[in-house]
Amino acid sequence: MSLPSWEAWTCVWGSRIGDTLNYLYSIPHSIATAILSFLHINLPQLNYLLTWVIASIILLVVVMVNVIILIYVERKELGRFMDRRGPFVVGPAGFFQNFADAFKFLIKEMILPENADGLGFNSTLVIVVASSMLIMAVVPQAPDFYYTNTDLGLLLAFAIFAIEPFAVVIAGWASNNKYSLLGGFRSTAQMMSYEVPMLITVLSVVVLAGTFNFTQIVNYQASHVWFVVPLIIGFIVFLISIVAEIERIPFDTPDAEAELVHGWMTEYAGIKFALFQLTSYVRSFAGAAIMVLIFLGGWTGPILPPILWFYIKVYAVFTLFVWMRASLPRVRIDQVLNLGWRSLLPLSLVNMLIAAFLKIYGGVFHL
Amino acid sequence: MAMAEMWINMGPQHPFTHGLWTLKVKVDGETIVDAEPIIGYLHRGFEKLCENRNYPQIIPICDRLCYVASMSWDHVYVSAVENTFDIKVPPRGEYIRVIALEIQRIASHLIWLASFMTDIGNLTAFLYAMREREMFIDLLQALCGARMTYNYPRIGGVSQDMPKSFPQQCLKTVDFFEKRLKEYDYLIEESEVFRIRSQGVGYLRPSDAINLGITGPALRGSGVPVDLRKTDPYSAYPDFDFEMAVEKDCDVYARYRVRMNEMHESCNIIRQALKKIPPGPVLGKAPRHFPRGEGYARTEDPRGEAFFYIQADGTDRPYRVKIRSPIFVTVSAAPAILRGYKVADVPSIMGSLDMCLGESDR
Amino acid sequence: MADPTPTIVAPKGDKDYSYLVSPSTVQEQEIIASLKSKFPEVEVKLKQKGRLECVKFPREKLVEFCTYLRDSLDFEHVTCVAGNDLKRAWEVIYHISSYKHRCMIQIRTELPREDPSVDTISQLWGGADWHERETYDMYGITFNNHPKLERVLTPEGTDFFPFRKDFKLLDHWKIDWENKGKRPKPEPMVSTDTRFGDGNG
Repeated sequence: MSLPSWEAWTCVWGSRIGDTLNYLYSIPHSIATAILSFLHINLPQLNYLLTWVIASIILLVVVMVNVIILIYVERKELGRFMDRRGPFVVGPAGFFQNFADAFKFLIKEMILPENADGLGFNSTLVIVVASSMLIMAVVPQAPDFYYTNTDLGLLLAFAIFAIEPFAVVIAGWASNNKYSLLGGFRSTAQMMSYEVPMLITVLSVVVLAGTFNFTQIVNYQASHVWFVVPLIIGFIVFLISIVAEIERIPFDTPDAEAELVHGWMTEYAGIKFALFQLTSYVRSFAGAAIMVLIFLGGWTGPILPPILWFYIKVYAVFTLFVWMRASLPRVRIDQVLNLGWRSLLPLSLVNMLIAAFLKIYGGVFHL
Repeated sequence: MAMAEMWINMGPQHPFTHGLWTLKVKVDGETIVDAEPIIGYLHRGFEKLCENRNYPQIIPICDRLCYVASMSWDHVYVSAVENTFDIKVPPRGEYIRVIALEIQRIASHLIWLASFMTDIGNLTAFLYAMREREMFIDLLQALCGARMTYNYPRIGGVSQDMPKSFPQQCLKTVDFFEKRLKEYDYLIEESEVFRIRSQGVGYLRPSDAINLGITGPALRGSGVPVDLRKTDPYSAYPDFDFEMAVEKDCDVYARYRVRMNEMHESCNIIRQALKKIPPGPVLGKAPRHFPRGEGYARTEDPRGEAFFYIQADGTDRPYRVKIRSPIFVTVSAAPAILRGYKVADVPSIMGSLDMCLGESDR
Repeated sequence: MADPTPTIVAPKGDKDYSYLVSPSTVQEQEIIASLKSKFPEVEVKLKQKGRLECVKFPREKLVEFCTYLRDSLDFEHVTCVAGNDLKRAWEVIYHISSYKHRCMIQIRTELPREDPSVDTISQLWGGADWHERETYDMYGITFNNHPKLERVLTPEGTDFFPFRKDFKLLDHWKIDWENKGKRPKPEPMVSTDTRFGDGNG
């Protein structure tokens, strides 16, 4: 088996990223070209491979920096909501508190519980972290800053989103702990019941925009109206569903620390636990990003550059999550499921009807 | 889907326990089939300890019965001694005791609110309640110099008169606190999520509550109007005009309402006491030699009916001391309340009972 | 919003206890008279207002007496059950209170030294259950027909009863001055009680 030809690489990779306007392509490409020319290697396949690796690293760094800022923002905002100051000792205004915590986790022992299934216990970590990081690969952040821009990006994002529950139930089983087991079951049940209304809501957006492509959805909103206006019901359903999906208070039943010690994460210690925590924020970030893209007009906005608008909106949505966390108690698991099946599913169907109606008679509303 | 039933040990190291005890729950899926509380991790042989100390030496260790409501336990001990030996307390002493007790009741209920809201997942209310508790702890500090273990009541009165600025500081705090209580209503009670977590959960029938010996806010939350400050008055309580907080819903929400209303009433009592307080000494005459005899006192602790029984044999030490802790009895009724609910309801139900392990393990 | 959906349907039709707000008109003397007519051999006296007292109660009569208290005289609540070691005998002290009449009766029952057992009252009042367990735990007094007479405060398998007067405390604080101020070796916690395990307690 030989390597694919130059043209084959181009059609997979270059047709999407190949436009020089995408900084996440052009910068890695120029770096790769510079390296290879320095080494006097003239292999286009290697060039593309290197471009891909460098782009991945840059994306990872961007996401990680954002997540660190996100955690800091949450701590500070939560502090304000709770009438306290939040972190303020380590670094300027406590910004490096996260790093301090990360180092603390790093020096902890990595414990594998006795009678735990080592393969399931450790592979779960890889699956959860990798799948969560992967979401951001399909979510564009600006017209000139994206990793891939596939036609089925929206569907792909939710497909990747839905990988985690399988890993979680494996983690719950492999930990050999009853709390973990219950947490794993809860996580799976909750994810399953909230996927349905969420995807139906997403479908209504797709019906209006006529495409699964994030960029085209955003462009459609820029030329018409943000989907939050016609699909306000869908927006609320999606907000609740995404909070349930990323397992934050009030829907953090899988790791409810009052009843199940830390749910399916109980037995994970040290850096493993830190990675899970980090992952949950990556998922929050991804959820907020998807919500911004499909309901809040994405990166469109006056004066400021698009990427800045994107981040402003993402942080605003995240603040909404923090606000919910600060003001609401936790919902019980059977109530969570009831809410999902009995209230959100009908509402999402109503929202779907509205979307279909607007699609047919949308000319009246300039849609 | 029927799952195999399994026992889950919740505790002794578990976030919901607020202390050191174990609740073994037998679950079918997530539904509780049976429960068994196990206590005793904090047993210090308190009653035996009292038998080896003379009467004034017991007061400071009564602080350690429950460090959330130390003043109440000091008070029930000294009033048991006063009942046993017929010691008269000057009226000013009684009034200062009532003020201290009511401040302690508010502080204790705020701790309860904090831990209860943590149990059902709202950390904001936890910090708010702790913030308000600080003001009342400051009041008690102004009164007796200590913040948690007060050692303030003495046999025959209280150790010292209150400072001159105390009434003003106290009134200011109470007024401020009543405004803050409204804020709690916005945060907690008007939240739909809080209501679905608390209403219809932890149903405790009134006749069951009486028969199982449950006292205090949990009993009043079941619609039984029993408050020893009213029904069996002690100290200076007959002088004050206050309402008994009773709710008829018998669930977690009712117990929450009872405690919130009690905080209002405590503010009310503090204001009246500061207005009516007579001048005079604060510490009466206590005998140097304690005769033979027996006696007891029961008071309305923040958690229920506190009771001290003392048998004196004529020496300087009690022959037998028996403490009735309200939580000791309440926790024994836990299986009856928990059966049929979900595992996720355990924190909210047990949190609504206001566990304190120092007093139940003794 | 979804219904709260309680997982078990609460039986709403329970007895209404709001009459407890106002005190009953029954005087303590009437209660004493009623008890005297039913149990002539039991001596009940009034100590002070709302405080009845009953010394040297015969232990055989206890359940009968308590049933009468609960069913006919509305004593709804067991405040306390306490054990005591009188050295010549054992003693169990009951404090039973009535919410309706706002009074409390203290019953002191002496048990012979060689047979520390008495009938349980936890069938009448569920609240007495753990108090009796604790009394057993601390004094080794057995309660006949108790549903679950086990250790409650001390760990399972404890072979002594710590509140008995002949139980030796560890003399940690005593310093042996003749031996250069060193602490003596703590003696092991051994009970002098030999009755454990012979079927009696």
